[in-house]
Amino acid sequence: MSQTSLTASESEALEQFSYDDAIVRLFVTATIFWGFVGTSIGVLVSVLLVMPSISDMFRSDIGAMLSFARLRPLHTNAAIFAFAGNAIFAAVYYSTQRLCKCSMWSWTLGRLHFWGWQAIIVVAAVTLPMGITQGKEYAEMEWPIDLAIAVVWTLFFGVNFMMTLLTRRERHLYVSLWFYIATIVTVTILHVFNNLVFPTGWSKSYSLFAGVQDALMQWWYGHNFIAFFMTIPFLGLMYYFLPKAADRPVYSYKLSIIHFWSLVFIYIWAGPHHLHYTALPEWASTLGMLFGVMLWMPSWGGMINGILTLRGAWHKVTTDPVLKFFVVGITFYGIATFEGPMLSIKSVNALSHYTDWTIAHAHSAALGWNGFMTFGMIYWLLPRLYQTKLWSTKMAEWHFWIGTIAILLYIIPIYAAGITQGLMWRSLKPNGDLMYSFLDSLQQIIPFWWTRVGAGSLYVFGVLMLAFNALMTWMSRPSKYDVPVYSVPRFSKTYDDPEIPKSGLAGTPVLELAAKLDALSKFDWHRRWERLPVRFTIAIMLAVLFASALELLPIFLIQSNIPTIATVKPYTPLELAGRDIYVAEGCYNCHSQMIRPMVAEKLMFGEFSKPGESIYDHPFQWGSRRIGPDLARIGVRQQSGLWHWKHFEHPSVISEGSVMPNYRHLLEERLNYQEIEKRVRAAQFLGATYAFDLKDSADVARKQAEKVTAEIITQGGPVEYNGHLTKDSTVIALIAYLQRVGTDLFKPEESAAPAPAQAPEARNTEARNTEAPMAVSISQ
Amino acid sequence: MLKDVVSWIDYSFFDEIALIIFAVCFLAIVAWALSLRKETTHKYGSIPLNEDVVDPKPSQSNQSTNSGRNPR
Repeated sequence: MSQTSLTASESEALEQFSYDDAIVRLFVTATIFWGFVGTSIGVLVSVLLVMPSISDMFRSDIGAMLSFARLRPLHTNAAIFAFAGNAIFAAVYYSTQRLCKCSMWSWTLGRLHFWGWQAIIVVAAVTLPMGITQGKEYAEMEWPIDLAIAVVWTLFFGVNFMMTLLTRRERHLYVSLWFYIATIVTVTILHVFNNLVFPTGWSKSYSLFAGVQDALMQWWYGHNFIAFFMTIPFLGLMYYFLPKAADRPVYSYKLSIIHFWSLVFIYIWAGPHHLHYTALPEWASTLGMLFGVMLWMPSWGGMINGILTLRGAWHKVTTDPVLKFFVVGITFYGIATFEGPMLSIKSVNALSHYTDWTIAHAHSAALGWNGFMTFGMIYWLLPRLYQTKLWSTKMAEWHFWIGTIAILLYIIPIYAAGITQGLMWRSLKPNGDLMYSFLDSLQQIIPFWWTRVGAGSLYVFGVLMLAFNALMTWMSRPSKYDVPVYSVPRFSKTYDDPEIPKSGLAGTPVLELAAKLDALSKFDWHRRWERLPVRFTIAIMLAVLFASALELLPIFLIQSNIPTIATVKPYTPLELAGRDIYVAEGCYNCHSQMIRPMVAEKLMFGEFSKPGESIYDHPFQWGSRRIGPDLARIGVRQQSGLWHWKHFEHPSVISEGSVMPNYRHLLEERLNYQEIEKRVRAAQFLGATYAFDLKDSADVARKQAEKVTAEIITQGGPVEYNGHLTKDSTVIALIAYLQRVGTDLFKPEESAAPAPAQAPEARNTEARNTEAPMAVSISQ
Repeated sequence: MLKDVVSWIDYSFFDEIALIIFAVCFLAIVAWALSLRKETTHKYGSIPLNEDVVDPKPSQSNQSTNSGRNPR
């Protein structure tokens, strides 16, 4: 600012502005509220895992909404979009105005942003428990909500932020603002590409991508969404609020620059490490691992930069709860960013993947890093926003200690649970048989899950303490907030840049190119770029888009990456309807559909999954977790329709020790056959071919349903259920789908010629007759 | 035509290209960051601590307008 050069007329024209702190107050309040809601739902789902029979106490349609699989996406989305999202916005609105020495460009856009975002959260909170979902982790919300997110995020938030940068009164863009720019740009790109869908109605759509491609797209999104929504903006927050709270500048501004660019360059590549040993091509997996490991250094550079910012101020930490929260938050950033790269190493991932280890890792980051950085920021903001003293520093201290104990009580048992699962799943007897069944491993970890219920409750109690403290602070606010008005000269649009450093090679007998390169190496160009937010934004966008294209394009364009299997055919209309139910119920939250090429996995679940098997899966349903067994070969392992029927009716009776809730509502509800045609048309649009007239989809589905039902009745099942014929039960479609999953691979090639919808019954029989017997059958 | 071009391209070297681009960019950024003068980085790093607005005028509430009025 001191470098501003003003003309005489400019210096006369004074501008007036005030900081818009009202919008920060709104976002802080929303953060606390959604923090309580999100963590409370977390406790609820943790209770549902240890007491799945809770849903039995309710009418089946109500109980359906109380299943872990439907509520887990609500918990994750509430934690990410509602809690972390509102915290980010509070941080951005407060710090951007101060760092730019100006008010937000549009207060109206700020209000539209706030209320639009809250409306999105509310709609998501209503629709997700109803089973309205896209079936992709952290991207469950259906397309109308996705569109609303795009509008609110980009037009209301992004435009307002960028215009504020353009109208700022501080020449240099402080490093926090770089992190915010990267957040806005990258989240927009991730959100748009991963949510490209084919809608068949307001509440249903299908991913444009399938199988391996959809998986790579999803984890490119999933990993980077965590990076650019849960990490990058929080680092921006750290670089602003930590120096403020410690009252000293960041330890190394140079390190913060390297930290920023390293993360932008590296993060975007690391997504495929979420898919180690799956049907993803090896080269992509290795690429993800290498960049995953590389993330360690810049991440720790940032952590060390944060911790060392407190040099000479550690005495303040003993008395200031804000700094306590920040120190522990940054420490958890260090823990999580050491563990993340470690988990991206294939041999470690082989043990950790699908287990609770991932859950412990995610929660050490979410509760420790995101939670504590947010709490620290809020406690620092409360007296400034409400222009009074914090109601109780003591209570904030207690919140800190209770929260810290809660996190440790949460993650330590869940780490133990994850490692226990991983080791039990791979244990073999001397004769080569499996040592334990899947249910054995499940029973072993349930005590750890109980500990989590207590730990989660403790963390929620801490959030309640914050809410109470904030409420009491708000109540002691002045009757009218003092809003300082600043009268300042207009910021000069022109700027006398220091002269570009001349090359030291001038006059030396070298090529002109060498002299130019020498001048370029003085890096004065970057100092100019730092002041140009649009160009800076474009640079980030190019880095992200270029890396994404190089990683994603080969999977989409090289045929050899996904070898097709001649016997893999499109799903029948009834199976498509069943698959929709599978997605709506959120089965992927507990069951994977991806058997890794490992001895123990093959023994436990069957032949490992091939890339060509999921080419008709829109969206892919590989999952990331095994609370229940893998289902990639369920059609091979369990063909009995009656077994499935009874299992959905009383899971724990059929599989003693199972934590699956009952799905009686699927037995009681009637299947809407007329809706199936829309579904089949969508499948055809996305690449499936059908030999019959699509108008006959309902009839084709009915015929298959009659076959499935006849088998169930023959085996001793009911003819009628809840006042309608068994064949009209919704669950019949789901059973048909499960009987199909994983069977195509074993069909003889010559019998695969007819379109599946023509002879689904013949296909089922073939699968049963031709499948190689499993070495070991597992308890379901 | 486009299909021919697309099928002709060998995408398998994309990861090597990516690695080279990353390395070049990363080294350039590191070199630039290290080339910054200490006084420059100190000035930039202190921006959050300096809330003074250029030429502040008395506020409507007739109080000091320096944002330093807020408790730190």
